[in-house]
Amino acid sequence: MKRIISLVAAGILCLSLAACGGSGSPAGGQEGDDKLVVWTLAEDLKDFAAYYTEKTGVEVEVTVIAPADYPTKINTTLGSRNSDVDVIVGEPQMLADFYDAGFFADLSEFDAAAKDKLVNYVYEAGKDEDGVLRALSYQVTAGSVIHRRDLAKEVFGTDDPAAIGEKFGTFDAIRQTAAELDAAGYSIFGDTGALRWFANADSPWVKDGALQMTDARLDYFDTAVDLYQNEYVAFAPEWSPAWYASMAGPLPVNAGWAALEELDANAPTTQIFSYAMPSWGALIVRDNAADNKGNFGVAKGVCSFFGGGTFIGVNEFSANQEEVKKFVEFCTLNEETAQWWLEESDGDVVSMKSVLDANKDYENPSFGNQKTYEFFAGEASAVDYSLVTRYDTAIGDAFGRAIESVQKGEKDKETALNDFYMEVQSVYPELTVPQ
Amino acid sequence: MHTIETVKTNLIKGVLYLALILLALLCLIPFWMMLVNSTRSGNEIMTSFSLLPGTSLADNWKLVTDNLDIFKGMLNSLFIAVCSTILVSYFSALTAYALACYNFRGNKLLFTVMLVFMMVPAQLGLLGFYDLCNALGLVNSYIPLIVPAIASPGTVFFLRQYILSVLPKAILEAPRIDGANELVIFHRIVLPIMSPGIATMAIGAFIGSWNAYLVPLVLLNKPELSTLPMMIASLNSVKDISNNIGATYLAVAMSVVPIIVVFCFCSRYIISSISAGSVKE
Repeated sequence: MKRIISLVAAGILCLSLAACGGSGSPAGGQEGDDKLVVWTLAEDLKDFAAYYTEKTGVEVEVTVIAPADYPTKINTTLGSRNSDVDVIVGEPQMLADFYDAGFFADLSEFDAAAKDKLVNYVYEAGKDEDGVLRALSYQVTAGSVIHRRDLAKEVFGTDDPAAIGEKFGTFDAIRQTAAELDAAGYSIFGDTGALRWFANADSPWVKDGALQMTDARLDYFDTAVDLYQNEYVAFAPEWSPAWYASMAGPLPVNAGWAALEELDANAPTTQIFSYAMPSWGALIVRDNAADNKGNFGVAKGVCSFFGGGTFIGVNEFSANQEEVKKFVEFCTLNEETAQWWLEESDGDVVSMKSVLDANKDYENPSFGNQKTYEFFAGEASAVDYSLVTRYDTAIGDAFGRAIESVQKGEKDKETALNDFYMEVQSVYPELTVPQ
Repeated sequence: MHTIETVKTNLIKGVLYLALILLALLCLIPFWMMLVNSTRSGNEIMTSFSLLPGTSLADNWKLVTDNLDIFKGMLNSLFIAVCSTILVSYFSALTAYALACYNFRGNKLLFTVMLVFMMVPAQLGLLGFYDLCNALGLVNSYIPLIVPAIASPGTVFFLRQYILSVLPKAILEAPRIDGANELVIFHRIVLPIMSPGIATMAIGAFIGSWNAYLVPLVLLNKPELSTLPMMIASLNSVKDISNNIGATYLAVAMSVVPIIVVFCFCSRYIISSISAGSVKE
């Protein structure tokens, strides 16, 4: 019996030793001082890291973490002042919280360079509430109305992006455009969610602690309801199978989330005229366009906007901050890197003004030889970052739900708006809402 | 009369079989879809639906192996899952046996405390758990993923009830009279009788540990330590998910294989053990 006890004891000992063995090197994570550790939520930085190693010989280790879990990981580990990681990133909507928590180190030494070299909204988004620079981005994600040139010619007699921009210039114009397209048998958008990018057309959601319900927002509300109830959209939501398929050709009306084979092939079909998306959305449209490739153009919408984008910063608790800052500088403030990335990524729009300027005459064959870099550079510099608040995601989602409830006839407009105010008030008790 | 009866039973049987076949299909189709989708490209998956395999298996495989060291991840996950399953099974059985078969002061109280802890969701302690591991220098180590499995109130609760139902106390008296040590009684007599219950809990523990995502994600900072679910989740990290979706399906399909193996092995064991009684009448 002693044998069994000792066997079990020895077994457990072995297990725990093996567990230690599995963990390998010391837990502090200080080994290899010259190695940079990057935690990112976009795969782009893998390419940047490889390029950095190629140029400087410094080894960079990149860990990709799913975007949904990235804040959890950062909040938990850096909350305990972890120094394992050197470079951390964030998407714009995460940044305010990360700045508040003190995870991003001060990058003030780059302030002048960033202000001078980068598109203004990127510089603004990189600053915390006190105006201290803490993160920078290598890309801009300016938005556009990505539209079908062939359909534009057919319906409006022109495919000049400036003319199309006017067709999408105000909510009234959008309603008018939607009716014209509908008469020709086309749908203006996949669904009315495309309008959400224009929610900040004239004022931020929150100003001086008060929720702003402006005429433009009410106009957005009415337009979304109008397009929906007149069936001017194709009812193919973003990211649905039908939505992807619509980039390459016609699709049945009212596809919803159904897979294409389930749809009746003889049902009336429509074509989606446009997609309102940030610049990375233009790449998605391009990559799914198939035979329609080259048939698209990009135009201005109701207002200039941006969405997403990866901002890079330095972990406040990292041991070798000087080395890490060099990496951030290399990725975001180096012209040669920006030009390399523009080519390497096959169409990502960089944040470096001089590089955008150098590429402004490039005629993009995927977009009917439009000068896309020139266009996106203009849109990016037109973004008014003072319209962006930390409340945007939550309030925008709540407003979207209010619109949906009216679209589907569950509520009238007044009830929906009052419910929306109540929802905002309960999530953010510190805000005052219209009565 | 007789034939009518047989026709009737056959009819009922037929309906039952039909219902069972439908149910089986319902269970199998998502699984089959996963296998099929792992052979199709992201674009095909996003735009169409198919029950027949596609042609992009090689591309997906390349995408998976280019981005991840998937076998290393499997090995890491397997190591953690096997170790914690062994610990969970042995120590929970030991605890359950003590709670069920010994009368000692505080037995009821201990059991109640355990029940209370069963109600606490594990996610609640994540931050505190990380701080604790950080203070103990256990970040980037598998110890916090394996050793806490020893304390598993849910398993103890289940096994305690199981012992109460399958183990007559009289069976323990014979070896005691023969002079056997208490631990020997546990190892030689109780453990074999409990094995079906343990196997059931072990399956759950293995799957739970194999699929664990949040705690390893937070505790392991080095890529070489990553577990499989962490790797699969990182495949999602591109702007347009449709690029990677086929590869993600392939990785998920691969991650299911060990679970199926364990399940086949353990479920056969459960069935054979259940049919074997401990007390011969």
